Amino acid sequence: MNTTSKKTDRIKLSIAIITPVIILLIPKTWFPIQNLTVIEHRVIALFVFAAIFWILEPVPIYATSILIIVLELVFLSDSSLYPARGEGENFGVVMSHKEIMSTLASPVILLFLGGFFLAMAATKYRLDQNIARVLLHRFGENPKWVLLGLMIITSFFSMFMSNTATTAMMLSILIPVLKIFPAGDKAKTAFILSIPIAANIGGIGTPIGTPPNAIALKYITGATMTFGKWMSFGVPFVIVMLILSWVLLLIFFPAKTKTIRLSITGTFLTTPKAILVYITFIVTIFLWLFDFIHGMNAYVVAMIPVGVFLSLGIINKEDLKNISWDVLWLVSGGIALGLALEKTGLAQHVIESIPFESFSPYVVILAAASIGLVMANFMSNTATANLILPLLASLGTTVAGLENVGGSQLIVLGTTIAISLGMSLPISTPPNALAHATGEIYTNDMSKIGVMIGLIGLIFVIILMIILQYINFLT
Amino acid sequence: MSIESNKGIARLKAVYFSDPTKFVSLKKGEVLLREDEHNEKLYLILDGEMAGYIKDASGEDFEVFRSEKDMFVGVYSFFSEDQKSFLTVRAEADTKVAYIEQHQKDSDPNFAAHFFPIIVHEIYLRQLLAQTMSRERQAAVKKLYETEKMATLGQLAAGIAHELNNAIGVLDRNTEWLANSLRDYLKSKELQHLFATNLEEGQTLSSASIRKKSRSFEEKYGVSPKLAKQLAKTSLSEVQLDSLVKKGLRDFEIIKLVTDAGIVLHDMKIAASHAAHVVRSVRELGNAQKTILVETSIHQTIREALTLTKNLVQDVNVVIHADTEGVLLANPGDFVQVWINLIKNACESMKLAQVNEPTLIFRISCDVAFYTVSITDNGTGIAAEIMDKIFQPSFTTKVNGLSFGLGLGLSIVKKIIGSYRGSIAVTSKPGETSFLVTLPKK
Amino acid sequence: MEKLNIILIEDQREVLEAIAKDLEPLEDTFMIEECESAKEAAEVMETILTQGDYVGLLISDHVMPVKSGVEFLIDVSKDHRFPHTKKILLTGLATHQDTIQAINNAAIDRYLEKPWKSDQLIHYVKQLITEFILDTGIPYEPYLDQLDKAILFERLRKTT
Repeated sequence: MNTTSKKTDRIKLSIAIITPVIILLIPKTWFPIQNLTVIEHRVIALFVFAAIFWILEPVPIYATSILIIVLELVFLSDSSLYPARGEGENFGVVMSHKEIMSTLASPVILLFLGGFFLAMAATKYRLDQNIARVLLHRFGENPKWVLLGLMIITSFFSMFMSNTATTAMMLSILIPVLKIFPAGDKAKTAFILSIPIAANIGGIGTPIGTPPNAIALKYITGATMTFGKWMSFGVPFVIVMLILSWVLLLIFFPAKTKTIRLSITGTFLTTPKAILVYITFIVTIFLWLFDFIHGMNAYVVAMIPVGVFLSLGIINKEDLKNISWDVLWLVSGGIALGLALEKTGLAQHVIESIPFESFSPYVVILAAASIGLVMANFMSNTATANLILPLLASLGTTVAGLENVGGSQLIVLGTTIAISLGMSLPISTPPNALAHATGEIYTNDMSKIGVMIGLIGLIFVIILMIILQYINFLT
Repeated sequence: MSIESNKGIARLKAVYFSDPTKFVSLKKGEVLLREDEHNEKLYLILDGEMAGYIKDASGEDFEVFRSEKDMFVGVYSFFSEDQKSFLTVRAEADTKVAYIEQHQKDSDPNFAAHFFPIIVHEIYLRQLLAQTMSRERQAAVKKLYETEKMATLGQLAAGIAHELNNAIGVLDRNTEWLANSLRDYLKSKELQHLFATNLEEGQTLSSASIRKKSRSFEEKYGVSPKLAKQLAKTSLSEVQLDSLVKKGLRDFEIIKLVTDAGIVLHDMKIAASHAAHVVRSVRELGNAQKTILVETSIHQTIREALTLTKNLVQDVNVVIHADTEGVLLANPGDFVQVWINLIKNACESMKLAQVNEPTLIFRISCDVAFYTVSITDNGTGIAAEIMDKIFQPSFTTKVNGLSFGLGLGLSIVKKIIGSYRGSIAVTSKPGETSFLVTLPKK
Repeated sequence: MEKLNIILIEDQREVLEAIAKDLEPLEDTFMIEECESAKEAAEVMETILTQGDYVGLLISDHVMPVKSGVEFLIDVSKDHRFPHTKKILLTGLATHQDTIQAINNAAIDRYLEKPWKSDQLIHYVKQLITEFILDTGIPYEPYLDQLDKAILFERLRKTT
């Protein structure tokens, strides 16, 4: 806006462009990796490019994703620019351009598309508000229980809807009743904070809860990770975290008010289309949970609501424009980046060059989850997952004794969850930003609770991984 | 009366109304016929004037007709069955009449033929008179109604004016109190001066020049647009600003506050005085009220009016030629209002014509008995067809009527000048429109 | 962060200053341009356009010399270069006919009567600028603190 921020924008962009170029210009031999190929060198530059662009955001994060795909196609693919081509062992392995392009429609992307369709139909036919109304009613008028009710409902919705949309919906229910709190009643803070916290946590619950889950799903290959299986550890973890956050909120922001009444008006729509939406919603979830009965995996099931809603006109052309394509493309870029690391052999090459053997497996896990958590506090969760998860996935079995704690795939899972727990600042996640924008809470309060949830959550993540390893969850 | 009936009358006079024994003379006010009394005679007025009355419901006489020389009286009772006069006929001046009696009508076989056209004509005349009187009556009623309406409006205006003046008074007094307290509160001389300047003059820069300045400051000082605009809005000189920026804008917060406070209070004073003027104008509409007259300089009132219309004349080249201060006994506010109206009209006209160098020339001169003030602009001029309407109260060229701070236009101007026994005239051609105000010295 | 402009048009200088004062709290987030006539506003809008910035909102007085507020707003609503620009008519003379004309021909978004209340004005400005941002598809995050939460949340609820 003002000149100073204009200036910082310019500086940001310069750093973001110059750094990867410098990486590209320094001789290969300077890297602490034996026999680095030309392509691998380029991938390192691309990774640095992606990291800096996602951290500094000189362009929107989804644009960075697309830039990654474009750069891969132009400089790393089998259909690249002539001057960028080469041959021989020294040059390295190029990527298939078809494979790069197919990241835009990879199964996890389509899984998310299915989730978007369900969420869009639900909001369009006010299913979200009506369920919230009915459920909230059951929690009475004691502020303590109403708070818990709000959190449960919010996290439940955010398992299927985007965390942002859920937060927006719940805050719009909450804000009108905030004035009933007497001045100085800390419970106001508790109520507002409860929404983004529950939304962020709720995203952990299902594969479609939040985009980092989709990226994780991409790297949990081989092992049979189904929708139901994810929920079988995701939902209990969400419940534990919810109870923890609820207790923390009650301790730090006790309510003085004796009763609180949240009133949402409305009735369930009973038009044929609305009923079709309800049925499709329930059937899709059932199909996701019981894949072992019908044989269709989560990705295939996700396409069913897309087909149903489009053909019945429940989602029309105008609604299609409102699909968050930016979120889908953001994830695609992450997948493309992971693909580059994997297909060019760089990931393997790097892992081989770094003496991971000397690290304790527990240190590796703790480090990965902590880095994920810290980064997610300052930048987009999805971008964080885009950068960290492909690296973790490559760790493979190089760390001695890693298999004792579940192998790299379990680390990916744990880190993904840790990423969703990054919520100590208004900029951490869009739900945090929305809650902060109500102007009713202090950043301090948000940070206090956010940091505690993050740290205690990290411990819970480790415990969860130990349990999962113990029961041989991923095999 | 047509020649035909004149001839007829002359013949009838000769045949029927020439017997001197049947002449009657009446003094003014004498009654010839009385309502409901028997009458067997038909009278012809030879000279003078008579009028017929009936008593209305309240017993008042109500004029029904008026007859002059060569017209008939007693027509109805003479020709009717019951031979009763339906009204009272009275001489309105010394009058001489001749009459015929009932038996003459019966004995003369040509009577009907002789009288019929004449009588019809007589009835026609009376009808005409009745119509005219009815029209006049309606006009009189309407005028009465208008007068009453204006009187009511006047009372209403006076009432509202009283209430509003109280409110405006509070705002005006308290603004001044606040301004004084604030000025005394300010410690440093510089701040006091800054405050006083802004309080006195308000924001003297146009929004366009503020924008221009603020753009240049953005470049020059490398500050945000918001800060640049705030700097541009102050009355500080470039030198002062340079040193302020050099010091890292440490003192700018207080400077901005003092500047803003000065401008805001200035605007409040202006708004209060505008409101007071509008209230006055409305009250003037109702009834002229007596005010205390003081020795007033016309020149001074013109300067005041220019201050009040500062934002209008900022792009206008204003020239005042004053041969005299033009001192007379008056209420200065009256003249300020006159000039404001004239200035406003002139400026709008020049703005409309998008004149290159809008110029407004005031000339105050005097002779033995009169002061003359002329105000000349180089705007579009006034179209000939509306020239004679511009002083009418309802006249406006503004589509949307009143605008803030404007009085009620030229009608008020004329009325105010009239109350000083002065006159206002206008001459106009495109590029030169002059209003000429002439005021007696005493 | 895109430059979003709010343009004030009012021929009476004191009133213009008063509106600008009311909107000062928004000035850290939005550019506020003050104009004394419709002509000046049109010039400013032209400049904004050539700089590639946005005209988010016009707040115009009604009764002004040369060109009235309603006439000016009608012009803007016919100008295809400002399809999402929001409009507030601020008037001391709200007559029935004016209102109808303004709504039918100028697509006025809000009608505000003088004397206005500061919080009411700011509320309208926030509402309309929020709608403008969402309609235009400019990222809303940088402006978050100054946006109307009810409108923003309702729109975001419908995103996926």
